[in-house]
Amino acid sequence: MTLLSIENLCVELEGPNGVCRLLDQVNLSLSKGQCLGLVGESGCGKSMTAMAIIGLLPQGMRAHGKILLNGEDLLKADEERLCQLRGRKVAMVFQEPMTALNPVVPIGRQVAEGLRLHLGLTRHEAETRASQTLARVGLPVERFALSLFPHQLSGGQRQRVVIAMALACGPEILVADEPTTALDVTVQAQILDLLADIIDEFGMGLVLITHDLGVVAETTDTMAVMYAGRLVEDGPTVEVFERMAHPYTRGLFAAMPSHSSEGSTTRSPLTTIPGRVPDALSRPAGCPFVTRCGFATDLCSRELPLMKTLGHRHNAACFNIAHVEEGS
Amino acid sequence: MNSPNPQPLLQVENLVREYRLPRKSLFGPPVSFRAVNGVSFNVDPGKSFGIVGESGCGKSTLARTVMGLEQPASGRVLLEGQDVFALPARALRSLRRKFQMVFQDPYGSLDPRFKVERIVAEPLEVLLPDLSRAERRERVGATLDSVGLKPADADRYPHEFSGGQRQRVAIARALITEPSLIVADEPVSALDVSVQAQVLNLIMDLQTRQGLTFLFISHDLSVVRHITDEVAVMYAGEIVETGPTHQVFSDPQHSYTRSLIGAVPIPDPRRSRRLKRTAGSAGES
Repeated sequence: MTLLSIENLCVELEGPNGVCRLLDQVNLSLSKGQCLGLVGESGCGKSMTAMAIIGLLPQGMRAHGKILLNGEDLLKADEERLCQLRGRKVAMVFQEPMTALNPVVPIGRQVAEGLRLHLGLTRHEAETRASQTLARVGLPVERFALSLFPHQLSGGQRQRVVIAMALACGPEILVADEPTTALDVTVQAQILDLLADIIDEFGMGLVLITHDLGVVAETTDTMAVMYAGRLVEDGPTVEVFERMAHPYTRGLFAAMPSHSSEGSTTRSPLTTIPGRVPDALSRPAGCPFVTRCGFATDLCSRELPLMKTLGHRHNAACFNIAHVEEGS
Repeated sequence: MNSPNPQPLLQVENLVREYRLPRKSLFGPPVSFRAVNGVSFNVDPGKSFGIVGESGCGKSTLARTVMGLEQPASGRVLLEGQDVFALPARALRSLRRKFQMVFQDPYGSLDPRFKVERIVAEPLEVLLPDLSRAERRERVGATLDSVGLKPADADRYPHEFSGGQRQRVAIARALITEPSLIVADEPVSALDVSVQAQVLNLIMDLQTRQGLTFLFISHDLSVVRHITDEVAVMYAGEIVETGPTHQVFSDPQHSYTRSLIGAVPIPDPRRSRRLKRTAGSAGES
């Protein structure tokens, strides 16, 4: 069942040099109990997509297209309706657990805040629910009193509090923007396990934003690769990994230091993607990846490639998919 | 490279670094915390030695102590046989040209008000003060060239560069004194994966081309695995396991090393934790 469906989402910013398009024709969908991974380098529009979903785009940005949550278009909703939805139906887990929490408010009250606001619970009821939620994310009240302050917790524990805040009202969609980037690998594994358990248990949809392809492979059901504000490849995670079609996806994968268990690959040069992500004002005409792509032809610099279906729900936007596959 | 050198370039012997904590009570003895607790290792010339561990395990304190930026409570750091902490300040300063450091954050480690030329040439002011302007400029140009930047970039400010290019500037600043040892504390953790690959290639290239020795500190196991010859795993201020990189990673002995390696996400969805869990209620995890 489709929970969230994003259709032709564009985000524009009007500047002194004309309108610049930060997100261009983004299409995504997410079902209950599923995890969608958004991948790409910094500046590709992953966080912008997340902000659009939760209705927190910075002032001055215009979004058009559709963001349908259970059939209701969030882009048409007024601020009052958005306030009802945020935290209640759509919740967000931010990247930096150090800055996402209020340092002078005890954790129990921070988790309970949404409960009192959205569900109208009394202080006492909200506290009971908050302690249940905190216990669910691995912070039982016997060891982690509600009166603790964020600075008394470690990075992983703080991230658990942030997740508890997001979970408290039982949202249908959880948007997690790089939830483990600031954490150590062992803690990252625990947090990813927790998120995976939670979406199974509550039948929630999870949008997981990350730049780590390992995290995507381990946690997501479907994935979408973004580059310069556009989707360049999407599909079920297993299929995308098996048949990477877009040169950018392949480049990201090849640039990772080897994870294979054979030690023979050490110290060989890594494959790089030359150059960097073009900023929104200086994107090339045609394919946005043309300046960094090894397979670029004349056509690529003239025309914008559209998403083509390659297999079961697997799409990529590239003119030279056949060449890319031969070249591997 | 393959002839065993009798003397290691860097010897760290039983190094202890303590931080004093506030007294528990007014008349109680001051408590101290051992951030680095009796660490010993040797690095041979031309090799790269990796130190991995989680945040708070003492790896950055170790790097700063090796650089002589922090005073150890006990133990010795020998660079080419010379004890870094036994030297008078002046001698230490001139020894500094032999070992340089690259920091983690390429946004914080370059002064935004200085042009790249001044940033890169700064170590020369202390070490070779009688170099003429033209010579200095030439040397900056050559060093920038060796890290893949243009000599003309010397006239630009740090804000004009991307993260990867800034890290190249930071590496150029370390290289300009022609050091034999570079201590790199998380040099690629602030970078995107494609840019990270460029900087790692540069480091490997410099090592083969100029015979540099690296002490490479990182929390990213796949990076350390890729570019180091030997590795030490740190936990709570102590080295729990050390050895040739491929051996430590393929056959980890210590349980902490095993759990650290096991936690690294594998970019293969068929081995994912989601599948494991869907099929996993049947037994092992």
